[in-house]
Amino acid sequence: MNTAIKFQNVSFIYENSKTKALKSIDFEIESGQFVAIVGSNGSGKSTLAKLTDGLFVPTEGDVKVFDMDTKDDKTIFDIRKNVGMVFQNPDNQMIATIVEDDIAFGPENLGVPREEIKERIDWALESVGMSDFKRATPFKLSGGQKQRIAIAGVLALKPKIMVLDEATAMLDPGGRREVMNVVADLNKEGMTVIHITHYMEETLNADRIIVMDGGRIVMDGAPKEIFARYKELDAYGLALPTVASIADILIEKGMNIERVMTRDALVEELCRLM
Amino acid sequence: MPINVENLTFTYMPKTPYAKTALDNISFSIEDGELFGIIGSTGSGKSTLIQHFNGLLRATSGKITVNGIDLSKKKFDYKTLRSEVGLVFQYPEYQLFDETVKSDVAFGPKNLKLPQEEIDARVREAIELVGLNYDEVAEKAPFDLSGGQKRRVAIAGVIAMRPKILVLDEPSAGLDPKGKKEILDLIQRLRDTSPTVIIISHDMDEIAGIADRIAVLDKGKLLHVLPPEKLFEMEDEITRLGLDLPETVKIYKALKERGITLPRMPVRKTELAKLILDKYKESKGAF
Repeated sequence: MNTAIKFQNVSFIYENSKTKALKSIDFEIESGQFVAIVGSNGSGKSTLAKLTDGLFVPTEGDVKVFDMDTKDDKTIFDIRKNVGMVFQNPDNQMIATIVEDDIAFGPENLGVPREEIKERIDWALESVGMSDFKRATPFKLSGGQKQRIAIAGVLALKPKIMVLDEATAMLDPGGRREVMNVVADLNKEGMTVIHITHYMEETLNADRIIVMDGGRIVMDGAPKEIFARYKELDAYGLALPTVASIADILIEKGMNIERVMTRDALVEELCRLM
Repeated sequence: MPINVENLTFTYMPKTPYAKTALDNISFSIEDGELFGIIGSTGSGKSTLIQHFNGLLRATSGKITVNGIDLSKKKFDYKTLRSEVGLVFQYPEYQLFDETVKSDVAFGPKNLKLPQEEIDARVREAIELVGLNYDEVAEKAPFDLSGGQKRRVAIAGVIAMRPKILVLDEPSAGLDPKGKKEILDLIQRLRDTSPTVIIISHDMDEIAGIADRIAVLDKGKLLHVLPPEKLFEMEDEITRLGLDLPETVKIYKALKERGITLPRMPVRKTELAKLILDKYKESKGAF
């Protein structure tokens, strides 16, 4: 396994700010991993995301993408080609007046041949369930639809790493399901995924969860390990997935069941007892 | 009856090639003191609908009355309407603009031309109501606050108008779990002064847990207005509409498939836990 992203002792201070938004961050993400990052508002998640493709460069320490330093002007173009970013607010990510032009913008800049661009547009739109909107005007779509177009725009670049910075926050349940399915499929095909989210349910299938608080990484492990430390999560302003919180109530009331996280597991536990 | 909607139709850019009917012949009413949820996939017309409640959008046809004010008339009292209906948009923190929290929250009451002491009192009250410490934040720049705090300042700006009806478009979207809980607790607290609340939400667990009734929109049409425990019985319909069942209902159904039938379908976590515990005691008692 090679390392996709490496943070070495990274600190970051915003211009005109005295406090560090990130404090001595150290971690590695292996190629092909699905990593969820959670943390309360203001914990440094988005700052961290923007450091992964060199949008921000560290105040201290190094960020490396496939061994390329984000501070190096010679490799920054290769880094950006490898890291696709999807942000919280799709309005800031739309540039063209027709959906297919918007998606074509990235590949065109990479010099992808015309025929292949067409294929990529169709594939990307289908992946996000927006094929019917190929000739629509992005500005007239609803927030959730726009976000799916933004994701398609990133997909069309065929990056090796996809960073989703609360990209599901504005979607309806169906849209979220679709996007999470798309992301899971891409991950199965080898895409490294960093998914920043407030929906704890979306972290259950991750290989690993990183918990941030006050600009530091405070927990890092498999979902099962992280959710077992629920008291700490609570202190960081986070919550358990709904199923786990229901299991908690039952345990508290004296039922002898495991602290499970998924519905299937909870139902198994209850069937065992009743 | 605070809000009554009869045969409301709204078309964006009518009589042009871009005409798009966003709301199609909608009728319903919202009762006094009701917590009314609105769900529907993105683009179903939810945000378009609520913008009619304070006259930001005018119906293409049909009739809307809000606290007795007939909005289908050519002229009506906008000032009274805007002070009766407080509208909190999606991501309202993007609309903060003033230099200090205090002056941002004071913007609305100032426009009502209230006396200065009244404005000051309302601003203080609104900031405290949303759970912020007035002395701590009043002179701060809104942009120095955290995401959750900024959203609460934006809501304070609406509350300072003392609306009787509070309309919120996805009030907890993008907030961390703690921030979400704070906003939901805040909404409950505000019901003393703004008893009628209308909430758009994409979080089925959240809306099922708080709403008295839920309206379902799809492609501009109003399909259902039902209490959550009735609405979420229709699993196929809910999935077809790009929505989801609350987790409690999914667990209820999964248990039923395995032969454990709870006496009713719960829409709140605590309710589900109680039903399971009752069933458990019953099954133990049988041995």
